Amino acid sequence: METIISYIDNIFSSYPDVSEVRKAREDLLSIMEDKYNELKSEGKSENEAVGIVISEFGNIEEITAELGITPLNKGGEEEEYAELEKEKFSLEQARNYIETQKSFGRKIAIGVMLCILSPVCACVLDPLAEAGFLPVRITDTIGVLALFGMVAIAVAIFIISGIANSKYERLEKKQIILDYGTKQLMTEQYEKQNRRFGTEIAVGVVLCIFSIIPLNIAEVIFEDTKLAWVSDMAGASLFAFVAVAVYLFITAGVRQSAYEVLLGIGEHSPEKIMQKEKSVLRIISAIYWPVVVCIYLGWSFITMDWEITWIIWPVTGVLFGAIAAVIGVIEGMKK
Amino acid sequence: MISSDGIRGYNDMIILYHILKEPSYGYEISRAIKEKTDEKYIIKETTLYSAFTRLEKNGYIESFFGTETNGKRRTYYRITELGKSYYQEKCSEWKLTKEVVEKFCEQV
Repeated sequence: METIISYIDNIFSSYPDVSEVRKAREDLLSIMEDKYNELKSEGKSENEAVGIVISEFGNIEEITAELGITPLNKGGEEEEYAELEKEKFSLEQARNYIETQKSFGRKIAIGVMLCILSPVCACVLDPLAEAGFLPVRITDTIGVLALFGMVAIAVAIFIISGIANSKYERLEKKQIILDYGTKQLMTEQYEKQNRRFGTEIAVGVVLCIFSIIPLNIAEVIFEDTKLAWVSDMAGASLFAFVAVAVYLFITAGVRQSAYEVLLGIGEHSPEKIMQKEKSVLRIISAIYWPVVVCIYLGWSFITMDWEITWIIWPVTGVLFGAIAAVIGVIEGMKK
Repeated sequence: MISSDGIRGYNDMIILYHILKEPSYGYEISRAIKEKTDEKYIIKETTLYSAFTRLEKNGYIESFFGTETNGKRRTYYRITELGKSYYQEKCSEWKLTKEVVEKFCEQV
């Protein structure tokens, strides 16, 4: 019954506290309580009873129109972010968005998996050639073909699903407006999904840590035996573990961020979006990374010291983090 | 299930029907509608309540507080003389509507 009361309170909170509204609230609650009690006495569970009562509630505007009462202008939220573009989403649109994002996440994850698994064929075949089971010429050809083939498929998936998803990207800069029921439902789903998110990330991390184990075991068992090639093959399993882990990270991450976009929370809260829009960091990073790439390629090709030049990535990466932190502090002080 | 658009004009009449003989309260009326129509029409709470407001404003019903045996205080509704004639009027209107619409309804 508490759920019903808070549901009603929430609905009425956007209307002025006048006697007609108070009476409407009281009378509606009384009808709903009667209905709830009867459903419970029929043997329905708490959840079922609450679900039925709320689904048969109807639309509050029917009553307020009759009473001639308009909702309070709550000022706060809506106006503060007046500069943000808004988009209204119905329940169906919201569900649709979540579903398309989930499938987008799966496609990208499969693409990345293919990239990670692309050297596996060569990893498995090479030891076989070295052990003399297959001619090197054949294993090399198959290995290279598999590698490029899988990467090509992955790139195709990235491009196709990226284009298909581009119509949703603009949503990330908007504030999405959901009606009350949709918001509640989506928040509920988000909370459930949040727990799953944690589990998936944890499983992924464990997989990454364990990825090295088959290789180690194989090395211990087969080292200095005729079957040393088996341990070489076991190296391939490392890719498989990491691929599954990355699949989990990506699908969970994309799903999580879809809910955040929809509900305007976390990285996608109106404050964050506005900060990002205004932030100097956006401009800096737009220049910074292309410059870094230029330096890396230039340095590498001129000196041909590829074994040293990679150092530019961790250095510039950490440097960028420092720049971002400094800008964050400065912007924070301005406020 | 019935579309709420189709039945909208007759919610008042349906509600008045349930208090023709004796006063009643919100949930009892809602349940009676559900039972009488074999759950084909489940009236939404907001529809019910907005109808009460409208009917009372027009003087077709009067509300009063009543207490049932279990001690719960509820708003009861009683039909007025004006309400009865309004009910009659809606009833004949429906018969006419039904007659007219019926003429255009056939199996294709």
